[in-house]
Amino acid sequence: MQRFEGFFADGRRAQRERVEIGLGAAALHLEGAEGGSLRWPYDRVTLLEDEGRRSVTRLAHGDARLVVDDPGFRAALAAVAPRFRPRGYAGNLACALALTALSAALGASLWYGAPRAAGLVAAMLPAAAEHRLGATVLAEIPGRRCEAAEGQAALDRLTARLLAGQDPPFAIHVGVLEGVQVNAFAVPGGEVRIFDGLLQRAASPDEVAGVLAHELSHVLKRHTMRHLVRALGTSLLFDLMLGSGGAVRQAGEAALALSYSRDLEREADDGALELLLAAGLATEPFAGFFERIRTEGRAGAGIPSWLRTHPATEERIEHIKAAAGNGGPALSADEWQALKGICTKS
Amino acid sequence: MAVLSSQSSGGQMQSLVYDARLGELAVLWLKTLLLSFLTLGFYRFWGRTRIRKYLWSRVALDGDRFEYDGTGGELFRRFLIAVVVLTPLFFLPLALQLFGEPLTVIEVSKLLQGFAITYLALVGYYAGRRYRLSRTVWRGIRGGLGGGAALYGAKKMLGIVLSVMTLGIYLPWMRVALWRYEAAHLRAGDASFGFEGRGRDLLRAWLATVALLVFAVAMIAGLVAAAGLVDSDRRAELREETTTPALIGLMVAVIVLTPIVWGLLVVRFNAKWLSYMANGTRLEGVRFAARIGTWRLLRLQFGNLVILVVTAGLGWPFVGHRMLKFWSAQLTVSGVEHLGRLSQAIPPPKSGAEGLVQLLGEGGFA
Repeated sequence: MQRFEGFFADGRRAQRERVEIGLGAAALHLEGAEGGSLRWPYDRVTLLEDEGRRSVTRLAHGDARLVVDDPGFRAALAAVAPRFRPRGYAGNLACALALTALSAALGASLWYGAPRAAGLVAAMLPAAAEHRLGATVLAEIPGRRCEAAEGQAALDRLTARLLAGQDPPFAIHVGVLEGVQVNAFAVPGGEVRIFDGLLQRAASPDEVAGVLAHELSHVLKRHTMRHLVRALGTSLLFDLMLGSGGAVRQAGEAALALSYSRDLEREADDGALELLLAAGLATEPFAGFFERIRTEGRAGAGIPSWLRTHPATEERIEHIKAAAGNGGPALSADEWQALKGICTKS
Repeated sequence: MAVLSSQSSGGQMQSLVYDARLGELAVLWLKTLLLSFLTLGFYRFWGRTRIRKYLWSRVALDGDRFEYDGTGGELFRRFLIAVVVLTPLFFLPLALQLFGEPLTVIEVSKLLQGFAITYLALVGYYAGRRYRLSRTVWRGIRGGLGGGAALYGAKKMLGIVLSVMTLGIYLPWMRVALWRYEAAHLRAGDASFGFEGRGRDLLRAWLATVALLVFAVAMIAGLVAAAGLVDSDRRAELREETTTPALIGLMVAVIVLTPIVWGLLVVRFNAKWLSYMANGTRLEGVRFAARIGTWRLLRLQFGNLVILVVTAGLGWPFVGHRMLKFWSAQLTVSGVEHLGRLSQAIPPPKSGAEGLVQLLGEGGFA
């Protein structure tokens, strides 16, 4: 039997004793411990791993501890008791690979599952609740609501024409806000707002009809609520995964949000085309508006805000063009003038 | 014998020995970080445990090393509990908004949410210490922290309110009361620590700190104002626009310099407080002593801040490393021979919930 020296603490008092250690077939024998000898069966002993240090071996038996400062002890112990053999690189690698595969599966199911889950949760929320939420969001957006009666009437007619045959989850209200932004947006609860800047920049009522159809399709598909649920879900998820991740967390959230909102925009484009075709309106101007704004943005000062929130890729424009549809003008010349003048006070 | 030669009338004087190597820690840190990323963050509980095991095992007292025997699974379970507790709190204002509660109710709920999170952070701080101490072993004897985390949180919350109400005067008493509570419940085996200290002893140092700040800000303001006046006289002679640049300079100087001066003065006071805290703390016959210098503490805390900011909190092991290095160099332990009388507490002290601490982003070490 090989013999080693070590220090023993009995786990009852904070005292250490020098002991002589024998490695038996089934147990460690500690000579000199507690004035006699102790027997520690190997299967009751735990090896306490000190990260990054192999020369000192520490063993635990309940609260009792044994420390052996001898580089040879570890190997001798592993030789008589296989359970103390180090796992080795192959074992470590296998563990790491298994963990990574598991996480990849988890990540993939989150990536594909989260949008669907968000849709389900959003659909479960009552329409009234969504409407109230929308009201509080609108209250925080600055800008005067333009209310010239004839302009509003023209806008309402265009909206009704686009929504004919649709079954919206709630009453939809479209309004115009004073402001130079070339932008339009939908908030939860069926409220759509177009900035006056967009009306002034549009070359024809059909271009406005395209943008309006796009926003209406966001509403019909309850995108804003889905987006909100999804954003909250991601934020919670990142909290769970990273604790306080700081920069890492923000980057991850932004990447996910970007990819998700691209998906939603594509969906809204498809929906807009359907609405335009059903209403017998031209789809060409919708694509044309995108293209024109983009080339103007490149040449001139900055990218219009509508494009920043609605990134227009070549692919998107081609997609819209491909679904050729044409019909009469969206608004009569008089209606179009009334809509353009909705922000002028009478 | 070397150890006996340092014997004094108060018993054997010793320091903690800390022999971690930065390179080793960095390798371990990178390993756990890589695994954490590969596993979408789930490995971090196990990684944290490995790093703690490393740091604890590099601290020795009286020739025996400390041991951390917590597990990653424990941290993970506690974390899940915290998620269940905190998720409703997280969603409260939004839910109220969806139920159409008036705006005032929502604002009040946000306020309450902030209050609850602050309170839970204080509770979590104590609960986290309880967990770590219950997993700290020296010579087979387990540490512990009794008392109530909820009570501690309430005491601290109340102390902060009182400090604000008394324009800061109450702060020394708050510090003393909180540490007295914690020390009285801090255990090594079945022996309790204790703290003898009075808020009054720190009052002079604290008032001096506040007075120095007022003096410094007045000096800065005075100097900038004087410079501005000279400047505006010159401008008046040249018949130029006056006063505005001087006023802006004054505001900028006061806004930028005040927090810096305040930070320096607070570190100076904290150095005094930490020395006082160490000197008044005892464990049976074992006593502690420290004389902490302002610059040393400033270097430590500033460095820690930089590390945490640069690594977005992921560099906490290095903060722990620096803290252990600092305290092992600053703290003297006398009466070490009494340590042999410590015996295991039966039954073992409760271990508390660390989950709260993690979700609230403490992520720290202390």
